[in-house]
Amino acid sequence: MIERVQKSDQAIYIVDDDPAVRDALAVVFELEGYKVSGYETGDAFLEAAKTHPPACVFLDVHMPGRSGLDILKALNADHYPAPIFIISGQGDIPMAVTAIKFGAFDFIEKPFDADHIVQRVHEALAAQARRDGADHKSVAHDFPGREMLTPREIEVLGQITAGASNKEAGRHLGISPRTIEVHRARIMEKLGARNAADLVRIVLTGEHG
Amino acid sequence: MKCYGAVRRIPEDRAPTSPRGNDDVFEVVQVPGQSPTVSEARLLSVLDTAVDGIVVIDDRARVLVFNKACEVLFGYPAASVVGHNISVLMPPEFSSGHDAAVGHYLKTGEKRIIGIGREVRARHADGTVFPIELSVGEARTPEGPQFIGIIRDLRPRKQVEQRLAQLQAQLVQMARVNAMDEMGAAIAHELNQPLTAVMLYLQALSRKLKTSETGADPAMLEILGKASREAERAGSIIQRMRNFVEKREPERQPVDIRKLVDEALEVTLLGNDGAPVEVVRDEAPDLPLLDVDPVQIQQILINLARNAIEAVKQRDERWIRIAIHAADGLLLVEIEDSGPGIAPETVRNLFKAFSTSKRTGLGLGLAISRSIAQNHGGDLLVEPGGGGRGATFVLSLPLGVTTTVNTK
Repeated sequence: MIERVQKSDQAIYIVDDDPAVRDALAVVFELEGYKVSGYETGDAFLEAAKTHPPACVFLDVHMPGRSGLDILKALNADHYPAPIFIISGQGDIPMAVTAIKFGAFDFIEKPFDADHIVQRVHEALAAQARRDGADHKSVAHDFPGREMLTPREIEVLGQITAGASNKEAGRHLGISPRTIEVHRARIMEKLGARNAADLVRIVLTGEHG
Repeated sequence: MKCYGAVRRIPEDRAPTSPRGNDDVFEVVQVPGQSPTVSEARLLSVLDTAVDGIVVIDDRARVLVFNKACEVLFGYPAASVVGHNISVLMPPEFSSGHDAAVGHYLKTGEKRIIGIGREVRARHADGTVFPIELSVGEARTPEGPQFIGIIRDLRPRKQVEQRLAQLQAQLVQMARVNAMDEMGAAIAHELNQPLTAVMLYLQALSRKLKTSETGADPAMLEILGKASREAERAGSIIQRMRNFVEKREPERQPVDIRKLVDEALEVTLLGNDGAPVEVVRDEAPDLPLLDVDPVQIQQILINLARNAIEAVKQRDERWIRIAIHAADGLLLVEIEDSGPGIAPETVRNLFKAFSTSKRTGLGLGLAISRSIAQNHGGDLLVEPGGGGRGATFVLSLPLGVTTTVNTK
């Protein structure tokens, strides 16, 4: 059971103020063989993450005390190695978009399906493993505005310039096509690109269209 | 040219026909070649300079003096009022009994208005009836008792009162609608939590059974599946409820946050009947417009301003400070108060629905305020203060173009 051994090394942190949601998520992931820790508040999570970095995080955005968005800021989530899934209720799209801007890996809407979230975590961790290895497309060379982009945005840009669709890019990076969409819009805004072709031209030739 | 005070009865034989029937006819007399004495001149000037209407009547309620302010107030030139019964300036409900009232006083000395003053209604030349504050004094003169009325137009004050009443009614209405929305949204959110947990537990069990070495008992799996589906059904009911209460999409438009703050303060301070609170504004110049729903953001600001005023109510030092500035792509509105700060045990649940330290209300204000802020891509945070410092609430809202996302 090599897989099990690997999984038990990977800690999943669950940050939600609701004890039942925390426990239920823990049950699901423990059954999958992951090590799971639950935190009632963002501060408790930040404290624990300092000494034992997680492999993956579930973060509820609507929490009393410090909100999920605040925690993302405190973590400097743009450069945080572990994927952070934002848990949100429905109808929170603008909030979810802000969470992505603040460096969340992706968002998952409540109520969620056990099969679905297990699958998402598998994909996210697999993408993370690819990222750690050499097996991912990124933009190697320099181009104007590169320093404005987050590591995640550079990855997404790598997918876009390689011609991947939102869906393909999402699958490769372990995030949803909608999140790719958010990144794409953000990258275009940052680089001043009017459309995808424009974006490719800027990246490949260093020229603003 | 107007003259005051010098009024005499015109002899019957040369009296013109009175427009008011059997009234005695008077005329205003200016004695030729005789200039007013110094004290008369001074009185004339005082009368004409006075902002309030001043009217003097004799013991038969005939107008002797009608100053400039009265001319403006009532729309009559002095010449057409002086000498006539003062009831011409009153609406019927007052005019009909006025002579009797004067007579009653002269007979009994029983004061009903003299030296007291009260709010009555007056009638303009065009027939409009309007509220005035009337104070009446009495002068014993060689020509018998005269009465001096000082008249203040109450319409401006009434307008302010009316506006206040309207604003308060709006506030109550808004609060009521909000309370409904908040209840629905909060119940939906709170029920969603245990339901999410139930679904996860059931699905975890199914997954466990399916991977067990002995193989799953199909009957058990079927029951679990049914339970799971029922939980999903409950979830969709909650979803429908949420859709219903959150039907109103944020109606975003470019908004000047300072204007929203102005209005929120106006509404809140007008409704504050306690001790006065000093408001300090601290705004960065050149603040950009925000793309937000003004009504929803207004709701947050009113909520925060009310809380701040509530917090300083019992304090010796009573101020709130509102600072607005932009930083890191966010517009920040900080509302600080001189209150006692927020106790640590309260801070924990401050933004949680149905938890309140107040005796009234559901404790939804801050919960809904935060979700509005977050649904705008912003946030609402608090620095609780304490130890001599008041609390500071920080509302952040994103600046500039909001990224649009295609939902599926």
